Amino acid sequence: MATHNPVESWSAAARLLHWLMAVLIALQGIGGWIGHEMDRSPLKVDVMTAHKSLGITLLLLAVIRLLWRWAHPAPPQPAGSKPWEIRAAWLSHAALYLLMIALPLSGWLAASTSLIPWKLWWFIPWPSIAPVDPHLHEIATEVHEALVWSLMAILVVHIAAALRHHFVKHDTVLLRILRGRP
Amino acid sequence: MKCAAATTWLVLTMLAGLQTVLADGAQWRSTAATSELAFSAWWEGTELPGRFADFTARVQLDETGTDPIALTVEVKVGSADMNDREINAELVEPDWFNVASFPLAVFTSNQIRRGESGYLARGTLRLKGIERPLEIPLDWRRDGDSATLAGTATLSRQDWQVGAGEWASNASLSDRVELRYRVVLTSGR
Repeated sequence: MATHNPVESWSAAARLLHWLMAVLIALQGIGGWIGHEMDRSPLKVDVMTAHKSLGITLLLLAVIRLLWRWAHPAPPQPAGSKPWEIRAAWLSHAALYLLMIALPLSGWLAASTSLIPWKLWWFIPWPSIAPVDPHLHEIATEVHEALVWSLMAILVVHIAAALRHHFVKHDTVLLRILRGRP
Repeated sequence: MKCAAATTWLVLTMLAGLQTVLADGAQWRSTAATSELAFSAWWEGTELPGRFADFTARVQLDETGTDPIALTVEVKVGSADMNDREINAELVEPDWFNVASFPLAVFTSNQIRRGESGYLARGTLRLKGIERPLEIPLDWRRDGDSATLAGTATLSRQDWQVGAGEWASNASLSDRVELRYRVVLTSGR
């Protein structure tokens, strides 16, 4: 698998990370929402253990992705992009990377400050980043939920922009993350 | 009719007698601020500690004032606190302590004997309306007008149906519950 970006596009590694995380983040959102709506039960504990485990998995993937991105420059913006478009693209992608770190971190804090025990994928003991604390738990949960709404808002912009590039501007921005070559 | 009157008289006499015994002066009562009743259960091997914030204990000593001969502990089960709002909210539910129907758990013993170390109180615990025998060790130390009663007891949550319904399986939540108590009492004379 080529890990270096071809000059004008994303490498297979970058595309794999992008789409793998896209699918997992969608599942994570659905699972978290289901868990949130469930009445307290042993099944809910399991649903939340899956949510916490996937969250930590996504955090590790996000770290890999950030390191990858740091080592490999992104392909350039299409020729003729307006300054506001370039700035909007930079801002929204920075926000996405930030949320990919902040969301699992806030979830990890929420899980740590709750007494409910869990293991990563029911198997690997996972450390807490704070002691059990009902007050801090409430704050972490509220921050976590606020970040979910932020992520959804930015994802709407992200997807709308991708579709605009393809259908309105007729450039290769969507194609190069879909199949690599323009 | 005559029989009913006789029974009533008998009951009243017994109650009066009981009251005399209780008012005898050798009654010791727990002080809330310095007493502690903690518990632990295990979820998939991880210890989950908690405590009852609101409980009282009364101890009756023998005539010489050395040996405890009777013990009554009343626990407001709604005061169970595991330092987690979601778990605390769950504990009052019918599947757990069913606080709405059974706000009080009561342990009474008037069979206290010396064990190898300390005392052993054989009595009954009424919890969730279920009354079952329970034996708990007591370490009783008296120092003038104050005394401490301490110990650790193990009981089965299934015996009192704590964690029923969906939570009944012992696969994740241990059947074993550990109680740890350290009660400071003062003479009620």
